[in-house]
Amino acid sequence: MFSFLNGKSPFDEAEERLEAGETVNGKPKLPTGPIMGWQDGVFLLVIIGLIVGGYQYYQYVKRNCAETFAKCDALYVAASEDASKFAEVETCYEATWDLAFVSDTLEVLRQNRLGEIEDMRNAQKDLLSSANDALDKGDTAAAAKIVTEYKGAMLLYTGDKSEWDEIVKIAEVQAAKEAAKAAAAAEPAADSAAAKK
Amino acid sequence: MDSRLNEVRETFANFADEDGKWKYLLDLARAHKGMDAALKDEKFIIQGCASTMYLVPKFDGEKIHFEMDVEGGTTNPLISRGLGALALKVYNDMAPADILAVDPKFFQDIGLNVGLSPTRSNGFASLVKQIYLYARVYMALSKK
Repeated sequence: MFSFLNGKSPFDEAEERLEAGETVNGKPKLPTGPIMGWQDGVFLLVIIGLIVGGYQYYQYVKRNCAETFAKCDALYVAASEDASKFAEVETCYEATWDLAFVSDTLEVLRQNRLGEIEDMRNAQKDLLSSANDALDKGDTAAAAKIVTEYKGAMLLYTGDKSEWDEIVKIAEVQAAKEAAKAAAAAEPAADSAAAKK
Repeated sequence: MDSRLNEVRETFANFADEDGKWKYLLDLARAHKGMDAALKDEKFIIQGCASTMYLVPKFDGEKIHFEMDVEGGTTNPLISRGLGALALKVYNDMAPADILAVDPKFFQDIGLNVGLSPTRSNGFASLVKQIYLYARVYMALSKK
């Protein structure tokens, strides 16, 4: 019997039979019966199952990784048009840390994109620091100008973000004051124009 | 010392494209062993790095041995770690005088900075500056 488990190959058995003089038409009698026992069959099936399953899982993981990166890439392209979306891009790439398989090419892409966003965060931190310096000097208009002119994404972390938000509030108050001043200046001009008529 | 510099110079000269450089840094990062958590003291943090990079020097009277590790919170700062490992590839286990004899612009000359984000570029410059600072200090101490 063909078996992986009994330590004998069919050739060994044929040799034994030949040695014992067992022949068919002068040729050694070939082994007959089932090719393998049921235990060997189960064993082989398990091995095949593991190989096929492993391959399928690898393909799934690879596909999942490619899809996630494609989604992040699309967000990155959109953010190139609208900088405020870079926070979403960062969240998307941060989520890729959970992926089981990332090729070197995608790893380089992820590291570089996250590095790029880190640079943007540092640039925003620099702006915040300039705005704070302006506030320290009592120049609220300059601080307000810095935060209102910023069109990028909010990338600052909690502490810095609340400082930034405070300056945005100051900028809003500043803008409201200026609008009121402009309206007040426009009113007498309108009155005098009406009086002339 | 020259053989180390030549090796790194040749490696960089042989990259077919920018991707080659990044993959090389990834390989260095993956091969680099971190450091004992007990060594991670705040005083060894390199200022100006986006990630938290530790550089711990140990001087045996002749050469300086550096231990380096990078932490990035939830992220895996492989490029920063790779940059740190590259710096150690050149400067680790060297005599202070030999470290100081290396042109600080060596990495710039081989094109490391090309395509490197400003934050990483500044972080790497801070790391190299710190290595030279340790070398100067240990050289001064060994002369006493």
